[in-house]
Amino acid sequence: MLFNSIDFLIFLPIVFFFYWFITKNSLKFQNLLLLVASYYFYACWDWRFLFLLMFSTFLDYYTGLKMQNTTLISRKKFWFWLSIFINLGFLAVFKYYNFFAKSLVEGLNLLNIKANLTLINVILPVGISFYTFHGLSYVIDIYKNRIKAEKNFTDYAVFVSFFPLLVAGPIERATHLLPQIKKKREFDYYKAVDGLKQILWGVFKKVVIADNCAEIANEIFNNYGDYSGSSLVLGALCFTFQIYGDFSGYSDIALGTAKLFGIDLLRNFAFPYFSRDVAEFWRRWHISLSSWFKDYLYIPLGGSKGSMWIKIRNTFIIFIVSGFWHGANWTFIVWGLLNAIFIMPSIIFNTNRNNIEIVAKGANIPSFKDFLSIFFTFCLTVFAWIFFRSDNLKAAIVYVKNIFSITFFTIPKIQNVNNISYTSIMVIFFLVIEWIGREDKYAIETFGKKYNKKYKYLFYYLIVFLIIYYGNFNKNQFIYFQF
Amino acid sequence: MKKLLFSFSYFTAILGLIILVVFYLGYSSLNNSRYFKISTDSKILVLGHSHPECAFNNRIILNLTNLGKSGETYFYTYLKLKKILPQNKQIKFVLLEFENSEVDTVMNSWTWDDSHIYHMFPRYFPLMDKSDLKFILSKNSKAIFNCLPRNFINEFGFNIYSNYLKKKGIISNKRFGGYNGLKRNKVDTITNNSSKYKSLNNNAIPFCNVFYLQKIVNFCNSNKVKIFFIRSPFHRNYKYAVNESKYNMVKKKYFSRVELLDFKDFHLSSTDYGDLGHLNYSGSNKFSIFFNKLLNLGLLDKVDKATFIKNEIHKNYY
Repeated sequence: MLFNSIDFLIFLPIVFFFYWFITKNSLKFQNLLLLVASYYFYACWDWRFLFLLMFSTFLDYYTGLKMQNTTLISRKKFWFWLSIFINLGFLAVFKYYNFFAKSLVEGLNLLNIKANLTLINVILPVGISFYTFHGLSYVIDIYKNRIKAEKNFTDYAVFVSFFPLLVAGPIERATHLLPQIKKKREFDYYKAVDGLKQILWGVFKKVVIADNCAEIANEIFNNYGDYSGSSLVLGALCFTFQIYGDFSGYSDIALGTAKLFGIDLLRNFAFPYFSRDVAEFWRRWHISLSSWFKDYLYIPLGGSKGSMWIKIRNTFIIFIVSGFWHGANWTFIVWGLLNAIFIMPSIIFNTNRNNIEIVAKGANIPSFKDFLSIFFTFCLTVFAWIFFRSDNLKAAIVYVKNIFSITFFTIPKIQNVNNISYTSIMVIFFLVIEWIGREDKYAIETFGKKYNKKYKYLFYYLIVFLIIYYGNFNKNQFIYFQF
Repeated sequence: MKKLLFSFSYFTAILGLIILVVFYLGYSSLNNSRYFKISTDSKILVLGHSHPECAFNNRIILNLTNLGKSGETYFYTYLKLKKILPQNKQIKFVLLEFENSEVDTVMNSWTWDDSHIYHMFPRYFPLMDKSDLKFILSKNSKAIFNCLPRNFINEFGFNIYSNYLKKKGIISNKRFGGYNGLKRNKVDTITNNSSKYKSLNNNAIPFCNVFYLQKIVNFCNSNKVKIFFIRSPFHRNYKYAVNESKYNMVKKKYFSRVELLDFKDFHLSSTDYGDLGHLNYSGSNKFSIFFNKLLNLGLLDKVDKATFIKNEIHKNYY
């Protein structure tokens, strides 16, 4: 079930109604309802993979309890590694096996050794990377004695499979979400209104920005050989806004939906394209994943403590793993590598925490220096996205090579797409609103608070109108579902 | 909770009201008694798809209004005709394009495949009654529900705007047809690549198209308007020309009582065609001058129209 589908438009009010009207007096029934709804939500894609989700949930729940109940370190280690091994095993089989097998065969062929490994023909269970990381963080936290194992299976299962975050995050932590699931939730009008606003903005980002940009980006990336350098730049720009609109739009809908049920999820995006350096970008992009890697990989590896060499090594490891997390393709690994390279100056000169606050806080426009920094960071990001979006490394390299040709100085011309002008207008409108709202959690959180209620409502109607009028309703999937 | 439900209902009610008002205005604009009003001097109405649209220059042919519309199959023409005739009692004759492609199953996809529905449904929807709607829903309901809201908003907005202009006596657009003088000439490039069309030999009949053609004929008869089929000139390499026998069979079997004004052999050079099926501006002018002459000679009153046309073509061009 997609967030931008009629099915979800029916599903959400039904669950909301049952949640606040039928089961409101019982936390147990509320959680049970959330679990059933979440499993139904997931089964709408492919009910067979529901068993995998259930198994993964039960595994982490059981091993968590076993780790807590044993006093023997060896036993604890056994249960810990069993959970890690099986969780990562699923990921390895479903997501990475074919990649490793192909790469191994290609590598051996290069050495003139004939090899033949059977590839498996299986579709990737939607959201596997997300719910596996949920489970992993839970198991690791118990192993490290940061949290106690959850005894109530339903509560734990809701933590793993709560439908707003099930398929594309944010990647939650047990320390943040489980206490909310275990606590009685009271209906909060302001939180619910806030949730609806965030859903509205998320839908706008998805169907107006991402899906319209996608049409242009797909045309150009699929036929990059036919286009001029300037058109290829346009394609990369469109993908830059597509992926942001798509993923942050999804996150906004997820966070907004969770708020309707009285639950706060982790913030996932904080206006990343207004970042002044790559380090800031990574504190603002896919925050839940970045912080997951920081807590469970970067810090255990030594983090920024130790020699410069350790810092550099750890940074490269975390970015390459992050790239690999996105998919089994060399393009993602190179994308991660590029980001590691881009962030290196900040690491080496220890300037990676120079830009903590949002840019131009309290001001209307950024300083010239900030503007240049934003522009430069944005260019680096766009460049890296070319590798992320391309089908393979060769295509990405040719794409980049074609950009830096004499045709870079021509006017872009795109075939088979007729929405370029209004998509451009929408992107500009979107950036303006994001800029105005950059000090809030999401762009329209407090938009128009100073003004008369009438104008505020007019603004919401405008957003609804733009969604209806400019929205692309071709049932486009969210990009991050494939991860 | 009550407050949320109230606020949400209030917000959506206003939104719903705005949508309803736009819908109503857009719908009623097209259904009022004026929208399809044409010049009171026009006694002859030309209908059909892009062939007549590009062939009949009504600045040359007096007393004739060309409302041919590209991509329009008989289903959509019927919807339009139902509005035009009651609003224009001066119309005495309807000339409806009936050429070889009309008996090809391609007309099915022109009526209800996704891309056609996407463009045609939002425009013609206000003209549909229950049975028309039921028909098109039965053919491709999925495409109808996938039509972009934008298309509806555009169409309904245009309806309101055009209606406003019409009130002021300005005919603003050709959304439901009108003469279109093509500037292009692609005949040579197309004929060089036309070998693939030679295999066209499909005996299936597009029954929906035939059914709606019958409805058009019946509607004209019940309104006491004389209907003629017309076959505008097309190039000898026109791809649907190969189904002549099927064409004749359908004409004879289902529409033997309707007279055909056949101009397929009208003398034109390749430079007079926009492509193999359509006349360009130059061709349409030549044809329109000739057709106007025939009308002045009383073509529509002749007993043997086919011979009259043949003789006139011969007399003028050979």
